[in-house]
Amino acid sequence: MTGGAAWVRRLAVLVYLALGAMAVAALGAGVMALVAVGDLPRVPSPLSRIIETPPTEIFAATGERIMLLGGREAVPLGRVATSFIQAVVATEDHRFWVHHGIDKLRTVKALWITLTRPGRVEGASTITQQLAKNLFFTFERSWLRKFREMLIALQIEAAYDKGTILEAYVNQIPFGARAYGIEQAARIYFNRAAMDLTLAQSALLAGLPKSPTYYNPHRHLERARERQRIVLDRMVAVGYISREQAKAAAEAPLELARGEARTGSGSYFIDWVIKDLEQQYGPEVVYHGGLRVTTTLDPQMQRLAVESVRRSLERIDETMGAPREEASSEPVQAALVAVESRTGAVKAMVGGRDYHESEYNRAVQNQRQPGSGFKPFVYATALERLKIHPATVVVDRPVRIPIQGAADWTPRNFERGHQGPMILKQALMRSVNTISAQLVARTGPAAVVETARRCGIDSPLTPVYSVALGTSGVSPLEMASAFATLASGGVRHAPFGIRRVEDAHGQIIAEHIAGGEQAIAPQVSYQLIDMLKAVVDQGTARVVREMGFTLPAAGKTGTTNDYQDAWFTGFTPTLSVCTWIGYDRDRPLHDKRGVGLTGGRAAAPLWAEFMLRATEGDPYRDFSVPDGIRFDTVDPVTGRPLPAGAGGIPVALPATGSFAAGDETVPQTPEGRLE
Amino acid sequence: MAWYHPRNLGEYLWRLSAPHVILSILLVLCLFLGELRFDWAERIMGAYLASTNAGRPESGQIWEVGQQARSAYQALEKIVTDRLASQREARESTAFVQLAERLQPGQGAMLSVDHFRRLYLDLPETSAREVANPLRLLEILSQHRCDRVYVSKNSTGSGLTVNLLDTANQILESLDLPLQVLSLNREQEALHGGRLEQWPDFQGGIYPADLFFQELGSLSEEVREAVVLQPRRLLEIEGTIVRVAISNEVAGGYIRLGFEAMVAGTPKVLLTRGREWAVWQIHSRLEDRAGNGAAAVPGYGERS
Repeated sequence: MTGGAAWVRRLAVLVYLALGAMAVAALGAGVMALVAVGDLPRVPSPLSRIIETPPTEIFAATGERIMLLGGREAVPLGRVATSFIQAVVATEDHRFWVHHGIDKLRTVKALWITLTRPGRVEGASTITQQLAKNLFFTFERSWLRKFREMLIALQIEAAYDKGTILEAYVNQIPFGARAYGIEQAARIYFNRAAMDLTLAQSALLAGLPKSPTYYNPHRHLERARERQRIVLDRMVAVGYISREQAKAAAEAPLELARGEARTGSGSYFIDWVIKDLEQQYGPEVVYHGGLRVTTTLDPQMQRLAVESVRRSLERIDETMGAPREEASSEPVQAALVAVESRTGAVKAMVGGRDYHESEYNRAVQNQRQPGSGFKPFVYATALERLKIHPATVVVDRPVRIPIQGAADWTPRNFERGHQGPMILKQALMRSVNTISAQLVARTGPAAVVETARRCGIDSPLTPVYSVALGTSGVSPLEMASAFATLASGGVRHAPFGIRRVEDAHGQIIAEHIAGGEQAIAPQVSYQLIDMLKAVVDQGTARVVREMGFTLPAAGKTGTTNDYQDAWFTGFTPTLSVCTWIGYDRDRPLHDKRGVGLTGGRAAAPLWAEFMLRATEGDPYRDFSVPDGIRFDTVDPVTGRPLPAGAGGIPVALPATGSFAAGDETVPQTPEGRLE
Repeated sequence: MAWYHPRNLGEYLWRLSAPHVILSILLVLCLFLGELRFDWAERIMGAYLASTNAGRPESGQIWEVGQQARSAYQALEKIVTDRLASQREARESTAFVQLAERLQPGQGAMLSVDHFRRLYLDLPETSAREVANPLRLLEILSQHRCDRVYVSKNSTGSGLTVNLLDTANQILESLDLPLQVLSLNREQEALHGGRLEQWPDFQGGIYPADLFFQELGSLSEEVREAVVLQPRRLLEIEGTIVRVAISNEVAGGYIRLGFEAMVAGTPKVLLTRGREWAVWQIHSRLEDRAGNGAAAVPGYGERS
């Protein structure tokens, strides 16, 4: 054979081999198709059926919609900004308008890269393939899954026009932050409709579906902006925009709807509501039932709560000298809950510094020691069981309480020293630990626990003497609710966030009926209110008055050992609000000079800041005085009545019986003091 | 001619230029380029799949969501249907006792204020007084503070709880209607044929009527009224009351009493109830008399 013939022979062999390979590939594809077609899912018809599941809508008490859950908020393509459509096509599949479901060249290229570069997997899914994957398949990576996805894409392309396909795609892609579809995303991230998106906003949103968590602009703005630049570059490359337009868009401010849109300020509250809904109806009904849920949230109050928490934390960061970098690694956190006293409706809830940084709801899930904030329950128990009253004389002195089978309990005062005799009101106002210890020693810790339970503390409480000093963990929601019991004359209203639940057709599924039960006698409740008013007016929470809050208010501060938690729970006749400041992990709160931050210094100012704005314009309204209460002025040390202007302090007392020191009904020492 | 291997280049080229080879290559090329240009393979496959779509299973994420949605709708439909049913039952009820029978334990229904007013007025006066202070109700209802009334059967099924609600669904007044009380009221509606021995709880507590009324007369008016809460019902009995029985069971602060009378020659029993504290007083007096041998407890017809 000649050299030329050998060469032609080799060429022919190669040609035949190539043709053979193509035939085998075609045959293989055919076999795969036969295998895959066997259990290929049915494509819904019409395609818009995929977005027909109505979402569960959550409304604020004002009727403002604050959240869409599940379902899709579909908009026709004509109501989506052209810039977004261009951005998404340029980024995801620039040959979308010309291919027929599969971009063959891109697929071959991706296949080549995947096979020749170990560890690198190149994607080549078209928009239609992505739609098919999102509709029918899991994220499991397998050749067969990929092939099925391709077949479905072919079917979709054969059955629907490009507009319908693109419309279905943009209405169901996940953008993170519970946003599915462009309309939801536009509202959540920019608080505007999809048709009003600017080029910069469109480019940012079009970059999110690649990895909604990684590029979440609320958490990682720089990453999101970097991705936005890539999208803009793609738009330039495809010819949708000019280089100048891209530059201008990349530099344009984004103005994310942070803390104002649906998943913003109300998110801790919404999470709490959703959990409640799931417990009542199950996740299936909540996410697929198209419920209409009316909550108790007051959007205006919620905005004020978020703003107050933000400003207070800035102040605390400043006081503590915590640079922002350090603060971001483990920042000081805060929680605030506002409960309507006469119903138990939760009007505002902030569960942390920033929902987008941490979704852990410290207002509900955090069970932290309340410290002295728990003392009102000790005093309530003492008033009920020991037949004492706010003018009863007690002695601040070293206390040693024997405990069976353990070392004696020797509680100490916050300020270490002892102040001797004083009336009960003065003791609560100054938050004297030894007196709370004496009271719990007399009533027994189980009685105190029982009182706290009646008032609304549901967390596990250990019936030990130290419970009097708040050593059992409670949540800010429980504290706000339990203090609301005092504010409403001893009537306990369980806190609630859902006022009414309807189905998609407006039929009522459930509605909250705000019933209360008398947890403690109105007279006992009022005596406590009177004592707690003194805490705000002259005691450990006087910063509230110093900050200019003038409406009648009562409350109690709390600070735990080593300044790990700072609390203030206070209330007006209408609103009970609990504020907490602390680290997630046990770390003390110290200022720049190393001085610890107390409830009065850290949490009460947050309370005051919120209440100053939340009650702005409210009329002056004092706590109503129940029958069986009288007022007198007494000596703060001896408890004896004094004429007006003689330096005594006003005290609310039971109308019947003597109240001065030496009263025979009061268990006292021979000196006329409670021991 | 048998096939042989081409021997030189010319032979190779000759064979390659054979029409069937060229046609084959052109065909393959056409197919290949046609696919690149017109996507015919995708179109054919897509069309085929579209034509077989109806026979394929409803599987995959979107269908699962659809199934979950369907099951959610069913669950909601059941809740709504149950709720509407209890509302309908409530609307059609003409007495609290009827409402209590129709509601399941834990179930409730919303009533209009007027409907509640009708049901309340349907109660015997003593029961009405007992379940709610009429003056308090008058205060609430006359000031139009009450918007709706929510009636629920408690989880043990032992009674109804009636909540008078304002427009904000806040409870203005909560009333407890023990089923025992409502049932007794119903029992009072008719005379039962038979004798007191039919009720096991009367065993050991049956006294001659004259002795009962004698002792009743010796008690204070307050106690008498608490023992016989509805004297008018007793007066309405056509016939003579011959025996009286006191139940050995207490329910909701009340004790059941039975009055046996001869009506047209047939024994009939009227069931009523008295307040526990008052019935105990007359019971102890009757027992004292029984201890002294004064209170015989003969069966009907054995009376001397």
